[in-house]
Amino acid sequence: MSVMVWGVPTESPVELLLGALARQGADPVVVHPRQFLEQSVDIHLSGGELRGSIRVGDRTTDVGDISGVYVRPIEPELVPELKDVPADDPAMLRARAEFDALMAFTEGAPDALGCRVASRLSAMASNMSKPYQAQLVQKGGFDTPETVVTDDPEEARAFVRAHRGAIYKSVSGVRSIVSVVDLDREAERLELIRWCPVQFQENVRGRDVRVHVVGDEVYAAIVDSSATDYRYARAQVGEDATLAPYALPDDVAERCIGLARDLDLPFAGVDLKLADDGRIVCFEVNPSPGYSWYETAAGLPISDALARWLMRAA
Amino acid sequence: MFVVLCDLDDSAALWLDSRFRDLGQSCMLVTSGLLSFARRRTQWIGRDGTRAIVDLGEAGVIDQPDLVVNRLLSPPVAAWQWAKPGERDYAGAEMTAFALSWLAAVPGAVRNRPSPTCLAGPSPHPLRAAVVAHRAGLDVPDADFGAGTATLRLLEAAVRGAAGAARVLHLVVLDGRVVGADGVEHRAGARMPEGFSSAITRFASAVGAAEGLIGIDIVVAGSRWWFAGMTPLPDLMVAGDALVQELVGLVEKVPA
Repeated sequence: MSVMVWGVPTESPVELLLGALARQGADPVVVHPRQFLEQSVDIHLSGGELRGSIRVGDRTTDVGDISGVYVRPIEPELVPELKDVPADDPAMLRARAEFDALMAFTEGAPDALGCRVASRLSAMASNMSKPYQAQLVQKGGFDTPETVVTDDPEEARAFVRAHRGAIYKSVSGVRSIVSVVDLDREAERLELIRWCPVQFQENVRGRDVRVHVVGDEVYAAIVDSSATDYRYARAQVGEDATLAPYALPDDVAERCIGLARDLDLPFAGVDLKLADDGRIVCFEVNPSPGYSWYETAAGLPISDALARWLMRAA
Repeated sequence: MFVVLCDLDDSAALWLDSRFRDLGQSCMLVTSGLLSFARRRTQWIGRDGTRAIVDLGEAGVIDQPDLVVNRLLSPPVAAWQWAKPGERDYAGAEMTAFALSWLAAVPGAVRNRPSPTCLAGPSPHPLRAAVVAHRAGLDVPDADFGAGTATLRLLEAAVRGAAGAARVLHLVVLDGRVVGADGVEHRAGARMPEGFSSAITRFASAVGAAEGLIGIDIVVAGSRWWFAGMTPLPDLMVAGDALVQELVGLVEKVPA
């Protein structure tokens, strides 16, 4: 059986995984989004069964021999070689067709072949709406921050006052820097939300914990930082956040695993906060965690766990 | 209050709205464009649950609808159509995210709840849909999903396989049951295969449409009924007033 890695080998999460797979004796099929001309994908249904093969260079792999797939591609439009290339250019068409065929394979393979996929692109989409995902997180047994999504400045002001301060961030999965609302300084800007709803949340104070779920295993790191958004700690408070391994209570670990399973995300990054008031609050579930920092800074063997999970035929 | 939510060019939704009105139901027809220019859109999520209000000015307020027929395919971004591309894309992502969250939690009977991949409801990848259909007991045509193939792969493959005898049938399926099933054989000109209805029910459940309104394309070639794709935007008029009555009936099933 083979493992397929669909991503850019030099990108750090992919690079770490490839190292882990090599340590465990695997010879993965690496489908590089930038090398679409040297690859071909044949996927078809025959008698209701998924069949086909993936060719990378001189190596052809039957899809039935693939035990697991790690999915971290880039869209053809974002491939450097195709920058500013028209949509109807033959190279773009080729790259798009290959992307679509690989997507078809990864969407169908878990049901058809029992293949492990971390994760289907369709499953990753739950993160494209934070308040939508928050509803699923609540069903998974976690508290979520008190939240209002609104295009009404007065509603936003009332929420901020009621919670004695709040943060704001994007509603969608588009990355935004979490920032504290300052009603006095931002009174004029607040009027602009009439054009598009903005997400405001209570400012939960406490320690951040990032939990990486890999199948039924968890790897957690606790964050030491006074920044509102610890990913941007240097810009917000002048020094980087530091990480340390964290022993997650069993019941919290079980909830994280269950939540990731419910979201169809066998590999996920769960953002928790150990609130000062005793709550464990879940902010979001990252469907394709860029785990490199947590692995290297906290010493968590995430890539090894991911490699093991992908190699274990279901 | 009934709400029919749709894009402007959705003639099936316009028909449904008029049929609800003919029956004396109070119904709001809300297009993506109207939603884009809402006076106020707010959703609260927290320990006390989730609630929302969408104030459409003179068109009305959506807060506690009895029934929502959601056929919204495009995010409500008409207000941003002349913005710079970067801002327009960002607004599109934000408005999609808001609509997804709002429709996932709006109270009442809702057909369909959105999915992260489609605001209008369950929309599995065509290959996954075919695999699931096969597992559910439906006949599935051989089809190529490799690089460079077209989007209507299953339908093309099924029609090609059936050759001249093919008859394409669009089934409207509500909560796992074919609406107007009695007339399907007449439209098909053939007997329904044994176990077909229960296979449809299993399929709907497997794609997240156990409580959903979907369309399923079937290519009939004599005794073989081939699954040829599904959509969260069924052609409602095919099912006619039987569907209208069943949708009205959903309201009575919602717990107070």
